[in-house]
Amino acid sequence: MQVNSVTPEMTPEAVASNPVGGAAQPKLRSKAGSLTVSKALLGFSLAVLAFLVAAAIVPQWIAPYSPTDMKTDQLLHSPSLSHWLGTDQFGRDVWTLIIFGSRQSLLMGIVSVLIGGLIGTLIGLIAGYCGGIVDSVFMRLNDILMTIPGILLAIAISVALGPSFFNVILAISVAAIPGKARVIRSTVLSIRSRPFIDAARAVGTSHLEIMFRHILPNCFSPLLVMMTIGVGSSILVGTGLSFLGLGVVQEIPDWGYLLSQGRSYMTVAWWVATFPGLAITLLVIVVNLIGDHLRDWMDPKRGV
Amino acid sequence: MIKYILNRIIVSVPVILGSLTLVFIIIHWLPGDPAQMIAGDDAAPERVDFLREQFGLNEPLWKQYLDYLWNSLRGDFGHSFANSQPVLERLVAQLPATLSLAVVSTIFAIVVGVALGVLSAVYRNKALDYVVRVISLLGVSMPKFWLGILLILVFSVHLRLLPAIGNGSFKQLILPSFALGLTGAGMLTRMVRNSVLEVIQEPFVVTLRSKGLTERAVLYRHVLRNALMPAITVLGVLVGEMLAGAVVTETVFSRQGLGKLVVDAINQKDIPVIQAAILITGIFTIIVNLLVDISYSYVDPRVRKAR
Repeated sequence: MQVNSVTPEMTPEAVASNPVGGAAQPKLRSKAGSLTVSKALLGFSLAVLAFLVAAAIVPQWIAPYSPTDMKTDQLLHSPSLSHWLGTDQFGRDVWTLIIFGSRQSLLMGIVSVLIGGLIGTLIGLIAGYCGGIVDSVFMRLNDILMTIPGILLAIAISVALGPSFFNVILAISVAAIPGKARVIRSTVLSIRSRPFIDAARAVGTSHLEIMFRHILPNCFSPLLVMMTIGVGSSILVGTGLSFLGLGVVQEIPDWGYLLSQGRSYMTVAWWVATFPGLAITLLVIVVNLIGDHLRDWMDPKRGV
Repeated sequence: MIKYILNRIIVSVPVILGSLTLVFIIIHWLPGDPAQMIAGDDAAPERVDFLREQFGLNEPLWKQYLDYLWNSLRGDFGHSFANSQPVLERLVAQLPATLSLAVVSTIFAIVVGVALGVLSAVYRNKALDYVVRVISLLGVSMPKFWLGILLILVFSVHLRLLPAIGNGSFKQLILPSFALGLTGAGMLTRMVRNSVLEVIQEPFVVTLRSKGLTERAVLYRHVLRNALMPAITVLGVLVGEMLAGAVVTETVFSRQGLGKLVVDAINQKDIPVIQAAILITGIFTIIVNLLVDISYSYVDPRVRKAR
């Protein structure tokens, strides 16, 4: 109950200017502890993400070795000072491979969410704004797309298209469409009934302009939250595809492929499969934490 | 009530037809010639032509589509490209392993997810809440196949407590169901927690408290009933996730299920098998969603009246 009475003051500005509650807002004091924890988590998440982005852009500056450097006298060496995370079956440094693999995993997550989010937003916007038969048709199509679970849809598409990095991204993108379209549609429906839309129509604004200049900007916050969290699930689908052998075998492997290779050696060299999986998990956790934080920040009703 | 159920069933027929069509479009319209894929890139053109003839790929597309639709509805999914066995036979042989895994994982996810979600909401911002939130975050963020590998390493290789591979006994179900169910449990925990926290803020809870009900009675008799409603709606999604997730998880635990079938089919470009496996999963998801819709309207009269 207290939470409800506090919410009006819980705007982002209020939280930012008064992070520990303080005397001005005594009701917030009970949340002081959790607020600091969540700030620390956000800081940690941003730091990890920044590191991985840096690794994706300039891996050669961060990694201690070259990803193609195979030391045939050091096959499957356990973690040591010279090889922090050990070496794999070809004598490559696992830490180096993870650094170099981050580019593909990040690209997979981000690009597919952008494509899927763009198409999903357009569908949701058109369906929600036009209503009537257009809405029914789009939403039934969306329902159909939703009946086939994401990873299976992605499997079907990447089998049909054949192996290439872009095809894998395309497959994950399609799997990401229906969820986005649904949420955007319901947001559009609630915005469409607001008076300012009637006002815009009354002064003769065109439908296209209302859709893109008045409604779309108001969908921004749910969209941003959804896309952030979507990066995490897209990465999971993508690594799942490469684990199943649908990814592209490249000179510099991605995390899912590293993991599936390491699986064969897991009884003799646990580190080869464990660390790439840890990297995937860490990236997805970090993205989810940032997404949760964004949602709390943009929707004060939810509180902490 | 019966009218409502009939209505729901009629509405799901076009959805089933739609997903059949979607799978057809993906497999047939997207660039890439199935016959070429089976034969390999450097196969002789005669062989490609032969295969195309054999699998009826030379027929006009609309005829292929109608044949496919009619055959799928009769449960005839054609013959495997790889070994000419009827696809249905292979599916039926492999389905029990996948279904048992999916069912046990779903039950695990529901029991653990609801319990942890409620606990987490009731002890909000206490130590227990933080522990639960960490677990659920891990659950939704870990790749299932990685968790599976870790479980095998710890429980089978090092502790030698549970078998790592195979299907048949219940013991062999424990590790894969845990690996698969934890994702669902994480998803559900987060949902239930949010939903309980939202319901607790509603005015009717104040009324209940002010009329002197114990906190326990308020929670169990009134808050949970309302808070678990939205959780029922995600059940359909959850079952779909568990079925699809089984495909990946099975590979890790070498279970002879749908997943193994799909992975082998991927390697052999065995399109009828992939097609059928996806269809089966899709149709299962639609049926579960239908059941969820019906039971939802049974539990919550508002839904029935709204239509």
